[in-house]
Amino acid sequence: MTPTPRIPVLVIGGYLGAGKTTLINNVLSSATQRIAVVVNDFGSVNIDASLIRERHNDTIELTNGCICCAVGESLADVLFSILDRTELPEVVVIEASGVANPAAVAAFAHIEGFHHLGNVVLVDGTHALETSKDPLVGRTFSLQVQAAHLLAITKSDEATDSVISEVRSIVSSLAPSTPLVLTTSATLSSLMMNVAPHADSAVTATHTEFSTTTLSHVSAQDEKQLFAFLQNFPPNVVRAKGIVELANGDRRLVQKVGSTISISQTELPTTGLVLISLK
Amino acid sequence: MTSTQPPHAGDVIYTARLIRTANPSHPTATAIAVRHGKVLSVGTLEDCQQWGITTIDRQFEDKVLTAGFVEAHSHVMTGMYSTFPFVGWFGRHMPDGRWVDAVKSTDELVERLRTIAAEKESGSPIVVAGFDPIYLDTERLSCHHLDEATTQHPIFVYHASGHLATVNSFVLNKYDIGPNHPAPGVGYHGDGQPNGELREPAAMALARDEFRLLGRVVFAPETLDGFGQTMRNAGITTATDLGNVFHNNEEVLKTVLETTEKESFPVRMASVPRILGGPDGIDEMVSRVLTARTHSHDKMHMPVVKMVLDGSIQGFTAVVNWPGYITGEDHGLFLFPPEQVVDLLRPFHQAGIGIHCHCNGSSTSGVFIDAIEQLLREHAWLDHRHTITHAQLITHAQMRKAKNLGMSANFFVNHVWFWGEQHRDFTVGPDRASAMNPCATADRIGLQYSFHTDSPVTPAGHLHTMWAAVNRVTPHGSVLGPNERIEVDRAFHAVTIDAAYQLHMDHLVGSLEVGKYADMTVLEQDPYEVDAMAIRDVPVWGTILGGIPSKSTAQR
Ligand SMILES: [Zn+2]
Ligand SMILES: [Zn+2]
Repeated sequence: MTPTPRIPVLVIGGYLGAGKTTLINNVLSSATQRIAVVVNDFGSVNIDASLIRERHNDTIELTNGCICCAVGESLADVLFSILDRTELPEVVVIEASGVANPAAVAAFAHIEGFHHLGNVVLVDGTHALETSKDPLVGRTFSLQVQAAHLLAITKSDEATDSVISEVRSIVSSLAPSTPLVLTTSATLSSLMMNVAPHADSAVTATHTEFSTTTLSHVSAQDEKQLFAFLQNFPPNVVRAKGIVELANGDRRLVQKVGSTISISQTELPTTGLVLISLK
Repeated sequence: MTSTQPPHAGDVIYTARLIRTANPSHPTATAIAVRHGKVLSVGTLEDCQQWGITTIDRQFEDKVLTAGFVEAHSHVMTGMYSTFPFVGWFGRHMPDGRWVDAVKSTDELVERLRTIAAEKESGSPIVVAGFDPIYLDTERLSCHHLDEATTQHPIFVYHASGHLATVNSFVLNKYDIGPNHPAPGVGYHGDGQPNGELREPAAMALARDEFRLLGRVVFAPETLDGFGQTMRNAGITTATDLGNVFHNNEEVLKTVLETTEKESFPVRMASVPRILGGPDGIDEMVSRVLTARTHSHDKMHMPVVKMVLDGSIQGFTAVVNWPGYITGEDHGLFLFPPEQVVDLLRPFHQAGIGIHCHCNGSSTSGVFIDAIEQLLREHAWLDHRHTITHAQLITHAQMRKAKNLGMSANFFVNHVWFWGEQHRDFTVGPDRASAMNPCATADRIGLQYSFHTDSPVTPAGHLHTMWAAVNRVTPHGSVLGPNERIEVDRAFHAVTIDAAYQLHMDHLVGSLEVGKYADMTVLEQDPYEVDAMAIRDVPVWGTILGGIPSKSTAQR
């Protein structure tokens, strides 16, 4: 049995107001791939309809505040319906609700036909101090941060440096080994979507916080060796992507989002590996 | 004395040994006259005959008629047992009236599955539901047990909790579920091989085809029919489907409206849409609900909406105030951001639509009550009747405040019997467990309340909820919270007029008063007269819905 290629699934989480909608709009407007966006709050994502039409992207509304509970209308059903289409998306982006645990949402990304790319969790630089200590939702905030493979503090330009550094320390103490970036939504979007050899300038040309390295000749004996190789990247590598050939001639699409690595089957030619690191 | 008016076609008087009206002005009667499906007169045969009716139906002369039971929180999924065989620990009636014995051991489950498999073509899926291992002291169910039933069919055992499924090796192989599967929720044996457990829908969905069968059943016409039959067999005359998405799909809504309107559909239904998504979509939902409401008919009402704000106590997903759960990991999460609740509810409140909010934990009840307080400061709708549904761990301070705000509680009092011991020993401890679903305190405080079964979570039927509220006993014979027990008369009102009140339907159902629907529960005995511990065993003959007798098909 030859495994069918699996569609990568990226989960975007973070507490209410952290900027998930802005990020998704950026993803839709800048991405070159065919994207299906799954949103949790119908109507709440003011996604520009024209963007969706032009790019053949689409959004799918989830019908429940808790997208992982109700049988018959769960995220699984949405993902199944994506597989039923004639033209499959190249990537699925799921916006978790403002109170959802991204890990619970991501749990759905392992059903047949998909693979999990990672959880990007946004932290609102202007409100995180209060949210993290809130008696009702403080725990939700912690769980969200701990579920992240890549953390991004948003709205940092709207808060003082001292607030941001306090937010940083709260977030780092919750998730000490998770890469943390401080960046705009547009950059973050390119970081997720537009990583490709020779086209990497999108991320780094205008932003001084990242540097790009392209490894043009990566080869590995097998998946296991490839995985070990990726695992040994220094912790400041926040993103990696590329297609690598194995000893038997099979090729693998390799993706790293923050602390998580995914490897999947591909028929596309090898590209080498692009690494984006925090300077 | 005779009437000057001629009788109308179909006019009928039913006589009974006793009629309990749930109308405190005339709590009991012995005859009831029906015209056009409504109560024309209730009292003595003589009173009823004043209308000149000559048709007297004496078939209930040795029975007890009561105001029809109203269930304000159940689910259409009750009818799923029309499709999926039931394998629960407490025996239960199926929609078609068959009694299915309890499954008390893994061996019995395997035996049932073997019988089902014998009648199925190899490869075709076997999905069974309602499995409840919480009381089972045999070995934990795994794929190996299920393999004893069949290796030629995929087996998917959906547990009563809704949080777990166990599958056989056929399923594991079919979907390539092996050691180190990346999905969280796949269970393993000590040796690293999957044990067949799939926890939470995310993992259950790995068994794609079998899981999808479960999802499809929600909208299947057999499910709706099964719901109606189950309710009628339990003596319910108005049943709620609390929290559906029918209003989102014209086709589905049309089917529901047509099915419920048929004379053969044996229950009056309250269909309650669930609040979904974020604040920006809410105005649209309000208008969809108001539009859907215009299609209501005698047997289908859309009086209120539902919000689900947390999970369950036994699943440790209810949001509980300090000091939290005594054992287990606290997974309590709000399903909507607490600060957004007011914004989400405001448009409904302003449009005059009642809100039933699922709050199991104390923290959750607090958030909902505070939101209603805010809405009432903004917009003085005094007759809102917003209802805390479940309200299991509501505190006394919350009850006082809810009372002052004109709110109502719908207690899940069956929990005392079904999970009370678990709550005492594992979730919240004896002090809070004995104060769960505090009916007597609600009476002391003056908070209006009703009971629900949350069917299919616990079996449909209000004799059981009354029994649980009156006795508060647990399966091993203790009384959990003796000071929260109430009298049978109070319990009877909770399951009739008080439930109707919460649905804004008390002018239509919930008591036998002139002008309201002639909906009655027909019992073989009087629940007031039998021993308190025997209330749940009172046989249900069936119902009278809109004046028309509808006999239960339940096997005794
Ligand atoms: Zn509920
Ligand atoms: Zn329910």
